[in-house]
Amino acid sequence: MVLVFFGNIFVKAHLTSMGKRVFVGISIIMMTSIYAVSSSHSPSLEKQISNSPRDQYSLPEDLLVEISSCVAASSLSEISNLRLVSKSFKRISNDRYVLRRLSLNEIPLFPWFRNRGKFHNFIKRCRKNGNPEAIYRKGLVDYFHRNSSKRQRDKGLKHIAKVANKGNQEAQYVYGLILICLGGETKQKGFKILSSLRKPLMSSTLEEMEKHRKKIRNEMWWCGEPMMRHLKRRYVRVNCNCDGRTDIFFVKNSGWDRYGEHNDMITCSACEICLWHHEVKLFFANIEE
Amino acid sequence: MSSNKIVLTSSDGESFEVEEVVARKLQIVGHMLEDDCVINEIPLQNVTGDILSMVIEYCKTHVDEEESEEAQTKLKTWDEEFMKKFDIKTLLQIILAANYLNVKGLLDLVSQTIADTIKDYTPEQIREVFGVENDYTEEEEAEVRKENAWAFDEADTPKP
Repeated sequence: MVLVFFGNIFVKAHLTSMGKRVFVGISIIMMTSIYAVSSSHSPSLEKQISNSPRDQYSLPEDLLVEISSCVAASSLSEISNLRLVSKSFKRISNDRYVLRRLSLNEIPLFPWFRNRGKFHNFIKRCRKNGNPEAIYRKGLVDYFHRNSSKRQRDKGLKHIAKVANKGNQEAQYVYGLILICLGGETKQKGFKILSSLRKPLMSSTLEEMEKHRKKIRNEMWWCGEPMMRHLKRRYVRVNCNCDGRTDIFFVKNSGWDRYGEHNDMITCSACEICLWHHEVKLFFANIEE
Repeated sequence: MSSNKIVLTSSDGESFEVEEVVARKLQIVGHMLEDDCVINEIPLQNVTGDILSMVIEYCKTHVDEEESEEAQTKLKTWDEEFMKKFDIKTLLQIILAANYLNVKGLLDLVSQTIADTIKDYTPEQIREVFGVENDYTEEEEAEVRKENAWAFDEADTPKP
């Protein structure tokens, strides 16, 4: 009924530009307020907030940047929500500091969807603003990609190293593995980096490490297989004099018992060499030599 | 020296006597003391008594920051519990105070807490909290939604 009533005035003006949002437009005319567009409220939150509508504290922009950067560090979808608040919030979401801290966790390495140009521009902007995850991504792709030149690979490895040195765990994981495969002088450095991951990634289960391994393998396989094969060939196992206790750990961790009580890698004093040998095998599994 | 007391006075006239080491956690006070004058009472114009008392509570707890992992974990747990006490309005007052008094640790903590709180809010609720007007036209708002959408198109769906 409403549609019929407003039909003449409204549809002419907005149908072409708004398409399927005609209904939204109608409610705007009726309420003469843009607030009607806002998405559904959760009643409990609303109650909480509107208890004291009088006292609002407008924060200076640097504090809004600080808060927005914390939101960005959590996820992209959350910062997207902030962009809808107002023009100033949108501007803040593009602040250098916010882009530097933005988490790219939700975003795949390669876009399989429309707007690829936009996607790459966005990631590039993050990188130019010093976002470590964006720098790492670039490094990972450049290092492993089958079409990369020698120079690109060298640069890629430098990018990975840079982010690993800042403490990014996924970068440390890949960088460490690459170094122990390449061998030579860098091998000890590789073991040292990987060793620092034992505590954060393996304190109770191996799940965290599995997550990194799967993510990298799944996303890089299609373009990185030749490079992975190259690394696998270069890898030489270092001799160790341990008694095989590390293998027992893996047996325990791979079966039904993986959530058992005795999985603690710190207390079980596994042999580092065996430990990372095992990881190299898993990382390059199904890659033909 | 360490037992030297300093009186901090809030904008609404409430006074707090604290040890110098605690007062120095407020960098604004630290700078005043370094300016070489002997001050026993410091008026703090931009902060009310109830908020100042929270800031002091934080500074007292963080006065000797031990390096040990155990102490760090304990402090972190305390921080979390401390932040749970406040609603969003109070958090905004605390962040303004932490900014004015220049207490870096508290500023970071409150920023993170506010971020965690507002991330589940709708844009409209965020506007209410921060006293911001929606200055988008409908076309502009649709445009922002479209810009936002690229990352989620056919990729992971955003969190509910």
